[in-house]
Amino acid sequence: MSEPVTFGVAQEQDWSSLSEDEFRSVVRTEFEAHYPEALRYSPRRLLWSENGDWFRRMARKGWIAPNWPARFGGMGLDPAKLLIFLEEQERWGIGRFQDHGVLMVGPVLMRFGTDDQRSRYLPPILRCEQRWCQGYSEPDSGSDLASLRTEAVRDGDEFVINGQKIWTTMAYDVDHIFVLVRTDPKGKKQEGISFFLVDLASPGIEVRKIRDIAGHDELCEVFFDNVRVHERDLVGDINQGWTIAKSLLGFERISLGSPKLPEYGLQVLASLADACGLGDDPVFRDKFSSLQLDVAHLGAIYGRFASQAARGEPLGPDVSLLKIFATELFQRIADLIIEVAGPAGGLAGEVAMGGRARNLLGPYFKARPATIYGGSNEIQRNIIARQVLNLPTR
Amino acid sequence: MSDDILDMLKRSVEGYVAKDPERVRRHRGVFPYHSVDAWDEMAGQGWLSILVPEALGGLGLGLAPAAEVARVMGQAAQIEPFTAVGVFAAALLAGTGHPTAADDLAMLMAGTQLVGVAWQNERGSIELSACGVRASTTEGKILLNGVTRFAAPAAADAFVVLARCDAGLGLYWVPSDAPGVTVVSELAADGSALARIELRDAECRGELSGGAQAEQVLTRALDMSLVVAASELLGVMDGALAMTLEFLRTRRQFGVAIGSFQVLQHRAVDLWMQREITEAAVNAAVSLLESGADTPEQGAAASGAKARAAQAALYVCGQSVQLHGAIGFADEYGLGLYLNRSLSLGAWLGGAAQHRARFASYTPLDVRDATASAVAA
Repeated sequence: MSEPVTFGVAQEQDWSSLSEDEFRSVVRTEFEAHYPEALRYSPRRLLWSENGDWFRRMARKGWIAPNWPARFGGMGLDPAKLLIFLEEQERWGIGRFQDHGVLMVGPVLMRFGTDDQRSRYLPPILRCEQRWCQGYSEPDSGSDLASLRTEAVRDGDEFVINGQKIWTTMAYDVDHIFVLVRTDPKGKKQEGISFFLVDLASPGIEVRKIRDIAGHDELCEVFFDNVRVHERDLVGDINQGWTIAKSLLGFERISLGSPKLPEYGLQVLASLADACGLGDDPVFRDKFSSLQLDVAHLGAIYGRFASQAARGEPLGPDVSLLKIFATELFQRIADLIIEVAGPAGGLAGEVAMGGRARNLLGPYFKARPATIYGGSNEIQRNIIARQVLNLPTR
Repeated sequence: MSDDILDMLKRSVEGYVAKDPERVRRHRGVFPYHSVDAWDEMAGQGWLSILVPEALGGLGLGLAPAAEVARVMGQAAQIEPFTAVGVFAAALLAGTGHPTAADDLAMLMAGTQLVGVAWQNERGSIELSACGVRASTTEGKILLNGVTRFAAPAAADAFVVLARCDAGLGLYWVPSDAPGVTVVSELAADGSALARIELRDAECRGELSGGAQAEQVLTRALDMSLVVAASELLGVMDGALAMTLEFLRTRRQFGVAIGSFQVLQHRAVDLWMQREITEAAVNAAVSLLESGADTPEQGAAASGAKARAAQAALYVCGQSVQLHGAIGFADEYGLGLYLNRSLSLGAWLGGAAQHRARFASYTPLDVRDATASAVAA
């Protein structure tokens, strides 16, 4: 219980002594009592100027890093309680902040980093003073990420980075980026990639926003023009970046397949149908119950993988099915919302209908990129075909 | 102890399937539409006693092993009426608690009496109150009149018939050869058959169960049968998918294995996904039904599993034929046994749309929407 805390604040109690139901109740009570009503279920990502107060509060409370061990200032939750924490966040409509520092950088440094890197980066991440984005995709390297060409060339005890990253989420609202860069252009493409930590204030970096089709500015391009990074910000060994990047996929693959987004879509659909007087329409009801059944069965199969993760067992390539099924189901629900809305289905922003206002296109635009990011569904199908079904390559 | 029994059971099912995979071809379309020898063997191995409580002479093993037996049968596209008799009729007779039901149940378990359940009306509604038979009492005799249809197995020696009566609903024991009873076989796609039963002043020896108890007992037995039928359909999908994946790996065209084509790979993944989702739905429903007390969630889960399995099996088997090309359409090849089984089993006890509707009836539209905000009228 009284494990010495290296960074951050000590936990108010030993979460492992609570049952899962008790823990859920503690978390739910906290969220419901303190999360600002106006920020719930935002159809777009919130800016740090909007949700910073809430997450600084979580940081002071020691709840900012539920996935980290307690000795590093995290909550030290086991996988089952971590899923509960994330479920409760989503249930209450609490948007994520740019939490790549907590989700990715922390776990990477704990596993691959040096003591120096841990002491320089973990405390500011825990205090929300440093927030991070992920520099993976490039204009010519999307699904074929390992072909990336942004390069880092050694110059004394520094590396000089040149190139371009793209589809970087909210790069303008954070201060650091972790990047995959090419440090060896020869040999197998996966074996010449390294993982660097970079301050976005470094000279030579330029961030440009990309307006998306929903009208939001969440995605960015990040340009590197002779950006100098000290060798102490290289994580792991040189050319080991691909291994590090892959080690981060574990939890992401299960969270992208959570039934929460489809459940949210179904909720919008049900209340909209009611407002449109379609509640008893047999055609609508059959379509709705079909989607409802899909959501229920997604929950059943999600439960199978979640309990596998909760037992600490590694997830196999079959987990890709969660992401495919969840995201395509969310799209089918979002499509039906628009269909049911009739002429209102083309209206942007909050639309009044039956005495309530809903963002009818919110689910649609949330669902659209879900089948692309985190490894497109086509790539996920390739993975299953090869690694699960053992289908031949020639 | 029960682990040993389960293990024995599993081995006996696998042995039965492996011993004579071509059995189905000899018995399809020919009365009594299954192998009598195989049926005796199943009874001897205790398959028909799995769900029956020990107090009634059964093994009392519960739903999960029954679902497992059905799944293995499905993997070999067998048409013996295990689910209809060993689950639906057995669970129903055991549930009534009626003294004569216990004797009939003993003969059912021994394989000496084939029993079916007749509960649906002429057009196959799954509403119990819509059943097509009426029971009336005249001069101390119970007489049944009406038509009931889609009862399995068609060759049953006797049926438990659902009828409307003064107390609401009742369950009645009707031997197939009793006066006033006409049983006609309707052939199913897989070569099994369902019974259409016409009752004209058919005299019946007494009520097995009546009123609210009859409805509750039948609902429980039906829910268990839906889940086991879904598990059997899961096995059918397994069988079709295994053949299809092997074909994709070995069939060569244009100088390569056709399974190397991405469009076929992605199709195969979609079939496999439906198989995995069906398995999760079946397992969740089995756990929920085994968790005891009757709840509406059990009916929703059972109908949900049946709707999923029926739709997924038809999709997987139909697409399996497509992925094979012409050979998949040849009876001799064997893929058709799965497709035909998925057609028959998917429709039996009600098809996907009917069970989606039953699922929906347990889960009303939830119109609370946390994401909507009130606006001034």
